[in-house]
Amino acid sequence: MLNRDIERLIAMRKKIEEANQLTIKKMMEVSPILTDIMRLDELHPELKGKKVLTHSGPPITWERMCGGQRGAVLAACLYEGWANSIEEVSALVERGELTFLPNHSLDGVCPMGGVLSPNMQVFVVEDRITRLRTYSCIEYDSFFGAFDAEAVAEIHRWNIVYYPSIKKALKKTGGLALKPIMTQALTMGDELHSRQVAASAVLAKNLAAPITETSPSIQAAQTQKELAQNELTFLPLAMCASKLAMLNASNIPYSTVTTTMSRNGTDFGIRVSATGDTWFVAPSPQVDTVLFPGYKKEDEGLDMGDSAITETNGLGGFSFAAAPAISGVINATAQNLIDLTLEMRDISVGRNPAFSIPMLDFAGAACGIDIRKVVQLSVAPIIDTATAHKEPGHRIVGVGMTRAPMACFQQAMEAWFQKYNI
Amino acid sequence: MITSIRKQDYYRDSVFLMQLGQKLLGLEGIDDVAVMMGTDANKSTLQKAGLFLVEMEDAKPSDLLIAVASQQAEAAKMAIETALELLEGNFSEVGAVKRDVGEKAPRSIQQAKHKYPDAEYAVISLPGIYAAAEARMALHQNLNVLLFSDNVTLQQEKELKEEAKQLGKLLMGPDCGTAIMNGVPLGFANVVRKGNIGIVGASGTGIQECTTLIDRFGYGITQAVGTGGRDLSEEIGGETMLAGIRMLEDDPQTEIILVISKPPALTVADKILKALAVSQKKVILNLIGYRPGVLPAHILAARTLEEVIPCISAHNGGQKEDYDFWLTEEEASEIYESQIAGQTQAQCHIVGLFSGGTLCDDAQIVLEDRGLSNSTLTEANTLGESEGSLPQNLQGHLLLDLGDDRFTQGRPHPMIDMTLRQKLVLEAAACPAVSVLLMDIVLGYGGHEDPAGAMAKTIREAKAQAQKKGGCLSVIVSISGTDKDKQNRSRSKAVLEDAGAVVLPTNAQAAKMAVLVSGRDREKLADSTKGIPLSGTAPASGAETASAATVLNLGLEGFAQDINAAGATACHIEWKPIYGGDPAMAYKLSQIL
Repeated sequence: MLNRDIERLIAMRKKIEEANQLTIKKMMEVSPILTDIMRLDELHPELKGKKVLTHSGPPITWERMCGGQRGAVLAACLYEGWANSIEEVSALVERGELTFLPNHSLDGVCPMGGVLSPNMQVFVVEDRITRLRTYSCIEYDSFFGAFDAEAVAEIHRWNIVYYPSIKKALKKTGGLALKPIMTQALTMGDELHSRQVAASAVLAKNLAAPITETSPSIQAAQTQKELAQNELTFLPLAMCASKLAMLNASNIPYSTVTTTMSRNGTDFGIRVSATGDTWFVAPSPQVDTVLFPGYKKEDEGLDMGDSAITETNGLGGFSFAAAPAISGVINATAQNLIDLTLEMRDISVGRNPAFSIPMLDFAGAACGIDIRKVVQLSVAPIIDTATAHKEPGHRIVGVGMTRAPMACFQQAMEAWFQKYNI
Repeated sequence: MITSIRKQDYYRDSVFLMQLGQKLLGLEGIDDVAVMMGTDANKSTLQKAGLFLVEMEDAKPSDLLIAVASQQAEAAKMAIETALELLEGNFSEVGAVKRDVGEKAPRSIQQAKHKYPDAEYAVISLPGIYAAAEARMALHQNLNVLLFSDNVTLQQEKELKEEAKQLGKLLMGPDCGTAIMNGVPLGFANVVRKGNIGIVGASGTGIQECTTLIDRFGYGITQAVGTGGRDLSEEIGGETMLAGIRMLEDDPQTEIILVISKPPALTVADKILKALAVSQKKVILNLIGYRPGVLPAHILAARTLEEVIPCISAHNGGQKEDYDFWLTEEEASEIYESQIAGQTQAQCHIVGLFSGGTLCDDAQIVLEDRGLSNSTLTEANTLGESEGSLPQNLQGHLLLDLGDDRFTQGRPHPMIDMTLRQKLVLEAAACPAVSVLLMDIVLGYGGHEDPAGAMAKTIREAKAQAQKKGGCLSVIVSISGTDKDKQNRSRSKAVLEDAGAVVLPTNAQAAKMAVLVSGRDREKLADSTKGIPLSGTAPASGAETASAATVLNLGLEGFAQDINAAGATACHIEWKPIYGGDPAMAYKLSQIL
């Protein structure tokens, strides 16, 4: 190696450090505001009139889709009136009349199966300064694979009653800032992935008066009742806030920070800032699940959903120490939760003071997953998540923890090396 | 005057904000402070406190307000800047414990350096395939590196030494067993006095023999830089040796530079001599077996390791006293007589069992200078290598470096484990042609707990066996060590003498005596010069204390323990290979981490 090669590499180290610092700065500087509720094809007019369904995770074909996601597809088809059974869906796909698109391809994120049709309404969250926009949706039972009448009725209820009511409230308030709620929720026992109790309560609190003031009383009452009893209403909003952060942090040259972690129940995919939209994919891992009554280990589906965007943003598993109560539903002691939170610092660029955690003396959550450190230390990001059934037609079977596959990070590192001629 | 700022959509916990406010109140020139969220209730509080400004009117509950009352604008500015820093920082300043909950050992060189930012050295003894990558990252963490590992490729060594040069750091190694930096022992090293002699050595045991001799005669060292076994090859070109020489040249404490090695490749010898020729210091060139041409006045050459002492003496204004034996007439004769007593005519060969390669070479030079050869590797004298045995039919003198790769496959190094040597001692005793068993005993950090004690038992047994066969086995040893080493040289000497061995002052002299005894050369003994090799004044030197240096350790945990025992600070890193364990990937990663 000649001297100028050594100089190039010394310069490159510096470039990478600077790029990574810039990346986390961009992650932290977004100000996500819930501004509106729209139909998916209003937000993305290119979908109008098409038989397209979105899904969570990296790109996947119908043939490879897992049972839970297929169930979600069927539910969406029932909602749209396109098909009545899995077989009919297959037929549509075979004839090329039904196509699929990752939510991430539309800069959106959706939990579990994450299957949305063009007519379905979504939360729209934007950053007023960068004008970046993203969408997500309430976690329907259908996203776990349920497609019975009750599951489809849930979608109708939200689209007819609750979403429009919230939309009117948002018009009245001029939008709802999400980050202050998230910061507050982390001090109230939420980690903002599987545990959203506090954040959802604060959301309901903030929307109560505006809903009362802008919706007819029956709609207002019904919507507020739903907001009061649903402990996961903030999940899609935490996901949107995280997605905005990661959108702002994308495509930074030399950066080794992870910008996406997402699963479709078959594959687990990641993306990295410097390598843009390229997916690095490996088989989706099993989840160490605490099962609900009536379900067995053999029933479990693999890790699924766009919700790992929260961990990508330093929440969820990366903020475990903020949520001791989560050890009631996953296989972890209070000490485990703290240890895991601290371990995530080992693979991160810095810390986010906006997500400060009281138990750690208000230290900020680890911010910016550095693929170099993941590979060097052989430590994969920890993710907490709900678990779906492996067959279509079921609801949630449990909640648990898993790790992102190391293979994704190794692939990403190799691609990064290639890009920069290492 | 009241100064305020607002941070939109910026929530912080109220207890935290109160603590922050308290801290700001303590700053210079601040009369009153409020740090709170823009809720109606808080605005009311601000009004009552006289800290409310008209621009706060439209603050939202999710906005953070900071209001400061002060006489001077400058004080308010400072306070607000401090507040912003603390808000953006990791809060360890504000009413919190600095230590992380559940601290654990660092897992990488980067984590360790972060924990110990003042660390200056890294010791790396990881498996060779990963060692180069870690050494590179250590260099970029601004550390000088002792790379103990071998099986690092030539190409990697070349690249790393070029990088080290760019970065102004020392890469000592690969295959470097010994260094003493700022009094801190790195690898296998002895406790020796601080003084004015700086050492650069391509040989671990060479450094150990020389530093312990230096200490024994009242001198001391500044630094001992190791270069690794391959540094002086043509391909590497002596990069680390030259860097070490530069370092000692720039060091005001160093007055004498001592270079220790086997004779290097010609082009490299040239480079080194050129560098030393322009040195402002006094130089001793200890290239074992080297016959120099004409040297400039400030450079003295030593042919064996022990000649360091007469050279130092000469540099300090005395004569260069080249005594064969640093003993009196009586002492030398007594030793000789005691060793030949009871030997049969058949006993005429020397078997040398060395734990240090350079000590073996040193002994070999002694033999060669007396017209004897070491028949280690002739066809007729092949070793039962796989079992580690002496040849069936010993044809001549046999000097073995038991630390050579041939003997250390699947065996611990002879510096730390005596098993193979004990086995070979007994084999030698059983061989009727063996007159002398010649051995080095190396003390110090990193080595065996008690090499003298371990060998004493076997020596006793060996001598008893030989006696049963009607002969007498002569066991001649030298001890490289000081009384400050944990094994204690004086105690070790007593233990070995008690077992029936004789201890000569240096490795070379042990070899010389072995030649005389095995050759039954009473005449040559009479001819040999004896005395103490020192004249001139030894400069005042200081006590040996390890500095407060911090060393990061990757690999064998024993090295970290020794550094701590020496009074410095070692941080042992809980290392494991990268994901997938691919050495090529690890090497690439080290270029960007």
